Amino acid sequence: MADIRIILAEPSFMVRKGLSTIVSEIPGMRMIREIEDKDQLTEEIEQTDPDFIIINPDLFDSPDCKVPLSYIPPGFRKKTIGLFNGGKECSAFQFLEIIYLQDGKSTIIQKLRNVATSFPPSEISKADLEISDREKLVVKYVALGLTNKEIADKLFISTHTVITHRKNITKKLGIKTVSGLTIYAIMNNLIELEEIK
Amino acid sequence: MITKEFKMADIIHLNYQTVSVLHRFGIELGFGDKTIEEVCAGNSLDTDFFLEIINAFHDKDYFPQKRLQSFSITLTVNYLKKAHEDYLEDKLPYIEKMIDQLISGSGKETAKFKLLKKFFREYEEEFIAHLKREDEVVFPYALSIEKAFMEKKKADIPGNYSMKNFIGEHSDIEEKLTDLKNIIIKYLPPVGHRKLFNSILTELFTLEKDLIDHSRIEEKILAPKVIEMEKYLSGLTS
Repeated sequence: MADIRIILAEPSFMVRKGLSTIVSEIPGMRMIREIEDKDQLTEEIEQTDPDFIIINPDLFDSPDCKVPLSYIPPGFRKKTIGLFNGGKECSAFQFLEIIYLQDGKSTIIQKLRNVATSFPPSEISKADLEISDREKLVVKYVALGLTNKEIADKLFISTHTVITHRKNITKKLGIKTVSGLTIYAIMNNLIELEEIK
Repeated sequence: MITKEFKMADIIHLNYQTVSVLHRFGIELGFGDKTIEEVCAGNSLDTDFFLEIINAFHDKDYFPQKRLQSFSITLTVNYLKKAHEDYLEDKLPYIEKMIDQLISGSGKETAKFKLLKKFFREYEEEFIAHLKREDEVVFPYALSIEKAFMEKKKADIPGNYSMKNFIGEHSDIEEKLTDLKNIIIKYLPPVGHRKLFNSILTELFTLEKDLIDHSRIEEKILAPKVIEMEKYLSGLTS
């Protein structure tokens, strides 16, 4: 299962370390970047394509706790979690969730989990299941060296659906490369050793 | 942050993976209670440079402060090349040897273990190609930029490679390593040899961590220096 990848934009070193430690203790979640400077934010988001961004508006010296939209690429504006010093009155309408510096560990974990399960719903709830018969078939064809287009034709589905299957397979098995999937297929008797080219 | 007053021995206690960094610097164990400064002097090494490398390797939040001062790209490149040698001549062959041992003890499951070996070889080839590209393209480029910078004249460099490309092309050999670990952990049939399996896994995890720390040296020490020199050079009129 692929981890949920989080970027943290927070000016205080101690807060960054603290929140990162908490995230590192939640299975399935990973802090991929810590950002202390607003000028790096946009570039880092675009480069790393995170699932969520935790932002402290203090980073922008913004008086009303709003994050200037220009810093967040459009595709990520609905993926932000606010990080606030609870003492302030804040208009928080643009965040999915708010974490306060005063929150205890279990509250923070709960809030992060809530966000993760609500968004995007399909990917998380399916991820722990075993791979389906349909997906096994896709693994088999991938292992035999078929292209996505050829697999689509054989199974009477669209290429797009094949790609979705492959993403889910990678999530469930933890294997991404074609040669890795080939080994999986043989180990699990989906194909015979002699069948590979 | 590690400073020159630290005892060399304490660094290893702090993070045992630094032994491979010491090895790459040619420092042998047995330094008693000597400090970093003393050991570096004894081995004719630049202490500041050693500190920068060891800090970048050990601390994922380390950012070098005085980029263009005190030491050169040549030193950095020499260290990185040493590390590459270490991967090619030591770490990879060691893992491969253990996989061979697994194969010979795998009885009727031999075919599956041979597949594992085949997969490992594919990973190895990709990895070697990646190192080769750095050795043959990236490092010579960095050195020629430094040379031009020292001579204060425009670099005579074919093509339009820039160190910025380097950071982008730097992250894709990790996928196969992750697959390799998962195949061993989740999908190989049990055939005994628990100790051997444990050693292989430990080596793979250690290698992965070491590679991440190694990349950080390339991205945080080498690349920014070269990029700054590039900037300076592009400001020169030829």
